[in-house]
Amino acid sequence: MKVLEIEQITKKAGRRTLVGDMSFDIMQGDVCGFVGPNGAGKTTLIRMITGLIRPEEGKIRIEGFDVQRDRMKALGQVGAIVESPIFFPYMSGRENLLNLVKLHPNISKEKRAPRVDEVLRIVGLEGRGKDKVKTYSLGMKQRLGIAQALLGDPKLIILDEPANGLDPMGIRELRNLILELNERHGITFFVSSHLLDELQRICSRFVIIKEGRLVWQGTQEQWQLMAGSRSLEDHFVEMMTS
Amino acid sequence: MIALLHSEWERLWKRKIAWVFLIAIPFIILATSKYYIGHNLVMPPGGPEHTTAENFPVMAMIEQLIVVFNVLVLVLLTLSFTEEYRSGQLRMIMLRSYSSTQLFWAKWIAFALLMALFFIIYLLFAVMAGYTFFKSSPQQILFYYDHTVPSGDMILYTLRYYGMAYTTVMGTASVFIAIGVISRSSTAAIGLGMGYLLCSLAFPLIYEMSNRVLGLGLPGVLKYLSLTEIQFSGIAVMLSNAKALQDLHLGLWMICILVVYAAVFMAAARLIFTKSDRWI
Repeated sequence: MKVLEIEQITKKAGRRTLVGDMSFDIMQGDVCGFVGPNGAGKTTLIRMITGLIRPEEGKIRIEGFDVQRDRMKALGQVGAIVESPIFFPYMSGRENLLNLVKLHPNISKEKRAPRVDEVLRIVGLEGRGKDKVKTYSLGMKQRLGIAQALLGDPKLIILDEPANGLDPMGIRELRNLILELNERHGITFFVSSHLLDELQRICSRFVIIKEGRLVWQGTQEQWQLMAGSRSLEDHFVEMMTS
Repeated sequence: MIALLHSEWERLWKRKIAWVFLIAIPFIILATSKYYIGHNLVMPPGGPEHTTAENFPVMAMIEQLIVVFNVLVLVLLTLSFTEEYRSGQLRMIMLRSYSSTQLFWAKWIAFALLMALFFIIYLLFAVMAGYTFFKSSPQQILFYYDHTVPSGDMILYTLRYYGMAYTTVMGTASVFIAIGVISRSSTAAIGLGMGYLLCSLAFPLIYEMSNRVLGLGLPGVLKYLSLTEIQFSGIAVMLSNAKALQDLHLGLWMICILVVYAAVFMAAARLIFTKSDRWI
């Protein structure tokens, strides 16, 4: 079943095409790596998927709901971190989540606080929930970012460069968290990153873009078959430079 | 929408500035009382500028409306709109299933409710300070009034004055919101907002001076194009019962100005806030 459908999406800034005629689907249960060099249009597409910016052409559907026409239903299925997770620094982690959980109509008033505690537990922040966000490390902010993305019990979580700035321990924690949420809760992930090695460890599928255009999409096995004896990194560099 | 409003209200209320101002209200009232006690020494009874227990709440609002309330509005709106938007904090809200139009109005209503609360608390402290520090008088002399007003009617006059003061603050807020949504940083929003306030304060002075010195013969009512001038003298003129002033329909003129300010700047702010791409 398709969770995310990208259909001939085009976004321009003046004369420059940021994303051009891009189409692909993400299926339920996928952990999909979204790969491309800097400036390829990854964050621009993620912004369009999450309704922050509008495409000039094309359609984006989440669980069959059009993001432009049926925003409430479409975005109700998504949790996301776009670029870095920025919270309200004058509030604690738990207060931030309590503030955000109000915006999920599918969670009743009585269930809000238990849901917040549950997501804090899932991301391993239950002991630091009462501390102000400004005292959190980057890794903790990323985990809190995933916690806020989990609030509405989403079908799809979109993470934009989630490993940026994390140390190896933080990256490992994040990887384990993504895999656990995918396996135990059946959540579909769409993860953009530069770290190909890292994506290789968690992703079943890949979408590769260059200069705003789709270059290749398929499963990790298909990519490895295509790369042959070369590493995925070498093959990726080849695709980007050819 | 109620949930969104609740979320906005909670965040506004958790900001230090809201609490600092709330705690500062008694001290502002105390300082204002001290000023008027001194003022009364050189301002004998028999004039509208002499402060009594009954007119102190109005005098306290006149004294603080232009500077304290306008600056508070500027800071609150900058934090609520510019800082949350430009720092990317608002992205957490915008990623959820509410439209940016709903978010805009939720922010506006939360701010308007907070300001209403501040006005009510300010009025309550002013009433208490009035009866604590000033002598009561059975008859009040008001600005631009043909006759004195009994103390009972003064209550109604005070409420109307606060209501109009609140309306002018909302008018000024519409300008600050427009400034807030176009500004790329909180510093720019505060700077532009302060610049607007200074221009608004300077306009009536420059207008009247050039009208007089150059003999332009332009109508005096045009000075009320400035919102701070409406706050400074316009509210009292609007509430006046003087026949000469009522014939000029100045109240209607000022209401029209407030409506135009609110309509133009709110429409512009909403359009910019909701229609543009959010590269945050």
